[in-house]
Amino acid sequence: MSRSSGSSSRKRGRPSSKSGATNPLKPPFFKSSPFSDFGSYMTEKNRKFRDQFETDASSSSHGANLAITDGGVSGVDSQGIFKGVAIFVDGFTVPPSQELKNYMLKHGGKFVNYFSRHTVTHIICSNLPDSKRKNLRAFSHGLPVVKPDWIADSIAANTLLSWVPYQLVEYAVTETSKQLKLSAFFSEKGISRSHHQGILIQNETSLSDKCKGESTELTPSGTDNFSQENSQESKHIDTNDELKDVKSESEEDCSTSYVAGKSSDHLNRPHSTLTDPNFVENYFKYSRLHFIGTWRNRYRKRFSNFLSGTGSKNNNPNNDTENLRRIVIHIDMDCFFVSVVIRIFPDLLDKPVAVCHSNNPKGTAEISSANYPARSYGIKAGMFVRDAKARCPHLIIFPYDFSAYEEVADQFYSILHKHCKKVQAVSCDEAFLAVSLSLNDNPENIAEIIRKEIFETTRCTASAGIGENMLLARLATKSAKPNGQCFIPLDKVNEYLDKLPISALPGVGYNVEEKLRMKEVETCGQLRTISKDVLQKDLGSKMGDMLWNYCRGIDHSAVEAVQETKSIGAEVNWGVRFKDSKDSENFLMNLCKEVSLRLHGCGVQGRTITLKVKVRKKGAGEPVKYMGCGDCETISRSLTVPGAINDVDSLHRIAKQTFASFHLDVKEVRGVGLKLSRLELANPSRKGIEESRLELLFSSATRKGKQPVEQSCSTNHSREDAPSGACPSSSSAVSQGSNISELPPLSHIDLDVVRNLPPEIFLEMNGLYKGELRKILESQQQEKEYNSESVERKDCRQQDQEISTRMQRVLEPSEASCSKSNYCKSDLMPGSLSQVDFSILENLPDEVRTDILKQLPPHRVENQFSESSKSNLSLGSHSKGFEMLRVQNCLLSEFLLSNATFLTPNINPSSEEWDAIVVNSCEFMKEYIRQKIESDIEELYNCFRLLKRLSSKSSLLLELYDRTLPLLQASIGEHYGGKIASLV
Amino acid sequence: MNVVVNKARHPQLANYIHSSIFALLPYIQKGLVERVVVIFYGQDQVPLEKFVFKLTIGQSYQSSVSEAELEFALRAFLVKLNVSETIAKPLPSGANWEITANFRELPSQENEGEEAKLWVPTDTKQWMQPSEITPIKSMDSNPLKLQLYMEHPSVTEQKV
Repeated sequence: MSRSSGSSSRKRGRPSSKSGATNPLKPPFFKSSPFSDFGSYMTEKNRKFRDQFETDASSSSHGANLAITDGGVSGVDSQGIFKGVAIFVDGFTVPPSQELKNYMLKHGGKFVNYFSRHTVTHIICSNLPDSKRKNLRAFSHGLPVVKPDWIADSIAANTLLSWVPYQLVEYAVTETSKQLKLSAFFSEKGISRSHHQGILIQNETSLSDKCKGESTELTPSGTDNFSQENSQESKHIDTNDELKDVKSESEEDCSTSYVAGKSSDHLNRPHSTLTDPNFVENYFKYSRLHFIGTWRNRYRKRFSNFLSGTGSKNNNPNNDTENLRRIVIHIDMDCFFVSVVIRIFPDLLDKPVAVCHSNNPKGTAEISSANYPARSYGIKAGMFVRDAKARCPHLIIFPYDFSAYEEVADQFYSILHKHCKKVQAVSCDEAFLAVSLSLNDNPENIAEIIRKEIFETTRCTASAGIGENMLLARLATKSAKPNGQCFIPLDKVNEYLDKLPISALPGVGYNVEEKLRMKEVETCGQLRTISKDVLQKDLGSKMGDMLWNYCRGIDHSAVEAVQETKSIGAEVNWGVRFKDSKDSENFLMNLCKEVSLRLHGCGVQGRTITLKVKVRKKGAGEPVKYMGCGDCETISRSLTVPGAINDVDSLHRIAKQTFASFHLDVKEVRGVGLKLSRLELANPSRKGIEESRLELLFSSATRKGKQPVEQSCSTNHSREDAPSGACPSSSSAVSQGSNISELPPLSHIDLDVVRNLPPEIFLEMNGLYKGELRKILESQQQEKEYNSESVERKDCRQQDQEISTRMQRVLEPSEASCSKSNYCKSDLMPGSLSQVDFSILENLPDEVRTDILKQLPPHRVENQFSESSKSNLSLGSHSKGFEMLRVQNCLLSEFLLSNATFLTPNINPSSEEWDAIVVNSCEFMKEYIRQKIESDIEELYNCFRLLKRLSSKSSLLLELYDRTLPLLQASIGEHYGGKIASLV
Repeated sequence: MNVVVNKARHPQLANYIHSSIFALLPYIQKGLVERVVVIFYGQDQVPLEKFVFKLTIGQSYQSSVSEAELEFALRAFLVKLNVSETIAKPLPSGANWEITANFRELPSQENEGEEAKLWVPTDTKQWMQPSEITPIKSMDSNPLKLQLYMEHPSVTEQKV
């Protein structure tokens, strides 16, 4: 074994030697020497080392047999714990390289004297010189650089440990390694990223293999994180302008660098949509936007006593409102993310500082916040680090510190609540206060006090805007920043607004600004000259109305303590790369889990499910931002379900189905978002009903795993004779022919057909059946008359029994007359159920039935069972409902067609029995749909058309139809991405 | 068994159909093709109607089904197409059509060699709403499961 691998690596070892040997310019005397050039010399030397090593290895492993139990079995190095590992020792190590070599000898590894990317799997070194550290990738060629402790510990544990925790620390923390891990991780999808990762990608296989190996060990820590994550719920509030602003600043969040460097358990976890089972959770864990989103929930929990108290406390001062005027104060922390982080470093106050995930000067992580000195260099939020560094090389970058943000935000709000009863939280660092002041009070004083207290407590500055309403307060804050305050009294409003550019108004985006610029409107003063009608015509009624008000400083919105949540969802558009549809399904599942958790956390359910998918735009190259979504087209589709949902299964089912309906190439998907709107409170009393209803509709999806394998085999069978059934006109002829030639038992004969036969054929058949045929016909005739005479329709069960007793008499002689050979050509027996009445067979005494069944070839037997149990089912017999499905082998539509009358039991629709029947038949239909959905929608279509047609006659079928149609539509959507067209 | 199946007669048309199906053959055999879709477009290149053949090839199945049997089954299958005219909607003038195939995954060039390069991704416009499906015929035999259904844009979409 070792010999063959040796020769293969020799071939790859020094490819240059070949060209060297054939070089005609070589001095001739070299040819006589054993080594034509340096390359071949090295090859030879390497080979010699290897041979020596192998001899040593085999002898030492023999010698070590006593010590190493698993090595002793075969006596070959392949049994050692380091099998497949080839180390290269770089520089001084503890233990020394000779010792390491011996370890490798004993435990089946390889020791390589001269570094080669092809033969070495791990580089062992204790420390690295600065130059190598800086240019680590060039040095390591992407191979893991591991401390020698790894080998020692592995031997101690007698198993190959993960090398990841043993990486050289410096190596792990540097930017390169973080990116390296990501690429290793994502490279499994086979997607190569930006150019500067070229080297890494070459080595991706070895690394990603390692990652795979490690993943099992890492999962426990992953689940911990998951549970932590669970406690954190988030909401995305669509109405929240501020949140949107932040969002537009940077669309994506990365979960990479700093986090990886800071805490060691995250360090080892692969980040990816694919290999990381908890990618979605981790993604949100490290997302700044997610922090802002979830913060509101936290705030609500923490300050719930304030929030609930506001109502009652506010009632008291209401009496003397005449003497008070209402003022709105807008408080906003100055560059919150930065000032919180640097509050402990006062010397950094006047230096440019920004907050970002990554400090890599070439990186594409986005700056989320920059302080004012940094802003003077033109650094803005949403800028890539590399651009920011280009503008300001001495920019200091800090990572996020979410716990500090939480702490400061809590302090901030404690102060606000202390001074004011009515606080509307906009975001973690921004709030509106509604204060009532007596006329002679200066509103600036209270703002001054609050700001001072905030600074003293948090060591971060805040700015305040004061105005008559929320709009003015917000606008005032803009001119107050940084660390100031601004009051716009009522009489100064117009003056202030006159010069204000329209883009400063909230809700005015690029489009609106552009449209107004066409009309040469750039300031609010100019905007005021346009009439409301014109504005509404150009910009839509809502927007026009809003702008008309805003440019006059009018804002009717009130400061509200608690804002209603309109929608809840989660969106991931960083790091999304799928290899195949399985990946995307896993990812969807995780996303659904996340959304479901959030819904549960807020105690709500949603009715409208919106799935948003970002797809790489045609021709768009790789995004500039590493692992970003790049230039994308966004597709979204929403689905409204009748009952509100919040459970993972339903969400996943709908998400999967919607995703399928896009018919996308999953490799092009760059982002997925799932959102629920039309929220309703998840009321536990009503939930019971909802759940049972949903379960009824959807349980088939969750139970998929149970389906026995044999089922699929048996269903395949029945369709093979489909061609013969395809032409209805010919099928009856075929069946007649077979009746004559093979003489099936009387119970197989459709009496309707017999009755309509020409007299001579009937006589012939009657003769074959020794006259019994006529008897049956006559008795049936009588029964029919009896039925039509009686006002009350006969219970089917009774009817069955009557027929069966008669059949029993008939069958025994006829069976005796039939020889077994009659049944050998089973496939030519009547295939259509319209010729069969198995309910009779079902009611026969056991011994007779078994005799008959023995006569029949196996799959016909299944038919009968299923048939009989089907009619049983429709009659309310529970036990056989599912047994039948296992052996399901016939077409329901044909059954419906032929047995329509049987399916209308005369039972009071309100009785329990009726309920049981309905539930049973629904269960049956669900099974049937599940079974047929992938292979035979034609049959399902026919069934439902028949059901609908028959439902005018039977309330049972109507009920069945109504209950199972949604499932059919859902399943069709899931598998085919559409809906069944109108069933007529 | 003499079931008549209609076939295009115009040489160019027949050639187009034949060559596209023939080129699909290796992928069908490998089970890579999920659906073969005949799409009818209006003048604005928006699909009006799709005939979808959904294929499932049982690759593990040893071909104990004779060619004649399979051919008969397929003939029976296609007969249904002749009678599905009522489901189809009248096409406006200037409409055209094409044959597309939906792959389960893109054929990789390493595995398929030069042939994979012959395939270009389509940029077919898609409907915004889930389509309406009218099943026409299903065949569920072992080596080949075949379903034929039509897709139309949903009613809400047509109004838009």
